[in-house]
Amino acid sequence: MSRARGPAPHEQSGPAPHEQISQLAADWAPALARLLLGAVLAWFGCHELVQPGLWTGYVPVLSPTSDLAVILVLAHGWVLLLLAVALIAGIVPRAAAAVAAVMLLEIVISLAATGGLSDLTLRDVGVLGLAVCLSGIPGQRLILRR
Amino acid sequence: MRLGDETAGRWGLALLAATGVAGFVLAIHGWSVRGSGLAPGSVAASSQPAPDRRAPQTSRPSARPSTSAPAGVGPLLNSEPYANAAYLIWPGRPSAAAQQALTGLKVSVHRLGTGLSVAAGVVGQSLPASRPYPGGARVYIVESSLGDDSGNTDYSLGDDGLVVTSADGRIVQ
Repeated sequence: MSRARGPAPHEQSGPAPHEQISQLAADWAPALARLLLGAVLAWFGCHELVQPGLWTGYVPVLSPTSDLAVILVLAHGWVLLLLAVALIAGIVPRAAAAVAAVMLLEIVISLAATGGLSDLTLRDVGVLGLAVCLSGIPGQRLILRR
Repeated sequence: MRLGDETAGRWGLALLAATGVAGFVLAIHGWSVRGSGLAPGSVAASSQPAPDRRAPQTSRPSARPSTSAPAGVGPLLNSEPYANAAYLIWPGRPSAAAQQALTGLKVSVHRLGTGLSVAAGVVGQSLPASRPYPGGARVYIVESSLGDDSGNTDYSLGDDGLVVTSADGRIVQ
């Protein structure tokens, strides 16, 4: 009888492995996703800053050869770089992800308006979804609060 | 500094400020080389009616003939920095890479005496008038980044260009 009242075997050995993995993913996946989104924004930001002439074709309405288009690309790249560092370092990450989501939404709309729904556009829709998701996850790991 | 329920501390703000300064320096560099991404005979430039206010690049020959420029040949295409981004589209059947480089563009080539007559434009727009290239024998499309081509659309015409060379590979001006 006393043996029947004892703790169940799984209570003695702690959570099952699949539960541990699930908890680990829940804890660290948002931070990993943030790093990866930051890497994407950093790559595009740096590229737009270093070689703006290759990106002016994306600026709607304006001529790709105009100085204003170059200035807009440089400003866009500068903001992307700031957002990338904020996401990677964990500086107000939810706000940074929200701003990134707004910028990605603008990119998706612009691409869809000029070229329709292409594979490039849908790929950016996926990145937009990642940014939207990250903007709503509180209590993330690897946050710089100081 | 509080932003909603998040806080940016001194170290965070300092890191953002340093990034902002670094980004500004990169932007100055980018502004100084803003014309270097364009290949000669830029399709974007030829398809846009807006004037190009940049100074002409005298160190790099333009494949776009001007009505006042005398016909002639320039340096070897192979000696140009954009040579590895040039894809042969005429004569013969363009390779798969050349066809991808042609995404969003349309090019018409005809023999004209001992040279070629070439017209290049953007899909969806009317083809500009053909231009003669005396002594021209080969036509290349220059595309420095194939990643901006999707479907039938080229999302960045700024890195596209057209080069006509003579039979020995020299750029026809």
